Amino acid sequence: MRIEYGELILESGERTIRPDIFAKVEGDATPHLVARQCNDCGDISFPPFRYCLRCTGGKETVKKVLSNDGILASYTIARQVMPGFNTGYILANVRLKDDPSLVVVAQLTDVKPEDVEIDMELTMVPKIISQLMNGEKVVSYCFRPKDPTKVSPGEGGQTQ
Amino acid sequence: MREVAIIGAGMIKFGKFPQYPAAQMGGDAGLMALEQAGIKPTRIQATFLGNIGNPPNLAQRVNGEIGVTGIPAFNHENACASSSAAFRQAVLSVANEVHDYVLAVGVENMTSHIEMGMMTAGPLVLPHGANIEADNGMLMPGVFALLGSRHMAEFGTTPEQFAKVAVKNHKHSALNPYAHYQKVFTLEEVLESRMVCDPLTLLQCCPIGDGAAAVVVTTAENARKHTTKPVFVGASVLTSGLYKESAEGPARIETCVRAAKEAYETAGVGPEDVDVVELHDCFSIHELVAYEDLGLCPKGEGGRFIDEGLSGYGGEVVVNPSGGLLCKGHPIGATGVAQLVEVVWQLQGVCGERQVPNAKVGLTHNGGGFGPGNAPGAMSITIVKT
Repeated sequence: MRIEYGELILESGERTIRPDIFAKVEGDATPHLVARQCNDCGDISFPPFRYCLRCTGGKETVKKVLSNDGILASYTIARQVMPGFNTGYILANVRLKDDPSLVVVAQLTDVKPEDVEIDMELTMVPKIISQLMNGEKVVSYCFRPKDPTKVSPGEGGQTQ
Repeated sequence: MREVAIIGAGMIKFGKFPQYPAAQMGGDAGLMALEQAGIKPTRIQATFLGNIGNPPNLAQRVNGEIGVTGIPAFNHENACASSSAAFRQAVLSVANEVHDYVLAVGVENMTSHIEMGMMTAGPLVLPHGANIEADNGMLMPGVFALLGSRHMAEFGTTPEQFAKVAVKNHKHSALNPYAHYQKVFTLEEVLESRMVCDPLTLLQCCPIGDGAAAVVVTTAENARKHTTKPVFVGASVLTSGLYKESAEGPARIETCVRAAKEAYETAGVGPEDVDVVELHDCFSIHELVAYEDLGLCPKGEGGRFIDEGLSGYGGEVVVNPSGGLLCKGHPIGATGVAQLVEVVWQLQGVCGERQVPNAKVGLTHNGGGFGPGNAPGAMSITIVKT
């Protein structure tokens, strides 16, 4: 995985966890998460859903590029994991800034467990998180501390 | 709709039985339930079965084991709430005058899943692409560790309080001959067992195992002809999660709060009326948080509830007299009906050493999987009454 001017470029043998959720944003060196937003009530879904799950009734949604910012709602350290994952990654619930009612499941990255605090500010960074049985590596959205003093590059238990 | 009752309940002892085919396990539990009901298998007009991973048409194969063929047979998958879903359909079929006598069965042979490569001996493995949360590294103990960590941050709950749930349920299981494990552990032993997902240690996680359970369901009117101890179904609620949590914060399971409210209203009872609960303690944290979500104690006071022994014998309500999923075991598809079997037996007063004195209202709480999003896939609350 390479990131060039905000664009996520996959190397051979890599795949994203979902092909429609990363976008290049002008002026930002990091790709942004892509959600969907209801035309009617404004509710945001991520991972994205075609129809609004809040007002239901088949209301259509449109593409919405997110800010990448979030708050740590909760975390744990996964010490017994599924095949293809490294033991000891930090599993988290992240509350997205664009819609605080939206809590996503993701891994924390570039942080030591002792520096993690509930309610800390986070920002998204794509990382390789697992390897499938066929050898393909999976790139997903991870979150790292916004505060640079809490960032420890390479920590967090991902496979790379 | 007709009032519905349970007239017979049966289950096999849970454990690890690689050579015990799922259909035979279900058949043995079914025959035990029919024997308690005092009716012949041929009275059964339909079978509703919950299972997640054994080969297809299991309800039909269970029917074969009890000597019944040619009747409608339904197979339900709803993760850990599979047989609660089956039971609910059984209740609806009787309530709506489709059938008069039906069998609800829960079965799972998980050791055979491992032999077939569907599961490892460790975490439950989902194939990549099944759901994005699992693809991101979510694990079942992770779901509840995240809930517990948040509960600790919001309410000051401690790892010791979560561990006390496991101590209590292990103590209960020692008196239950149907439990997979019947072993007492100290608080220190629970806390010092291997860490799985902080703050959950191994002895706070349910085991992998095999089992089956069954109940015979009929109308309240018929029930009085067959037994002097009918157990009436006050409510059987099954719902699914909202994609997003509600505004009240993540240290609760909204789906449970909603399902419980509907169940209490339908049954015409409140949490203060409940004498015995079989609660989905797949991981200790779930039980502590569910005390609050079920209204057994106020929000944020689950820690105090376990500290003061209010969920054990001599407390306000006996939660998991069977030992719960933690110790009785959690053969996935068997669990919902097995919970019902325990509360039915408690209300019938046939539980011997683990009998909850004077039990008149019982509740089962059975969650099933997770997602989409952070919510449970399914949540079932059943209330039964004498």
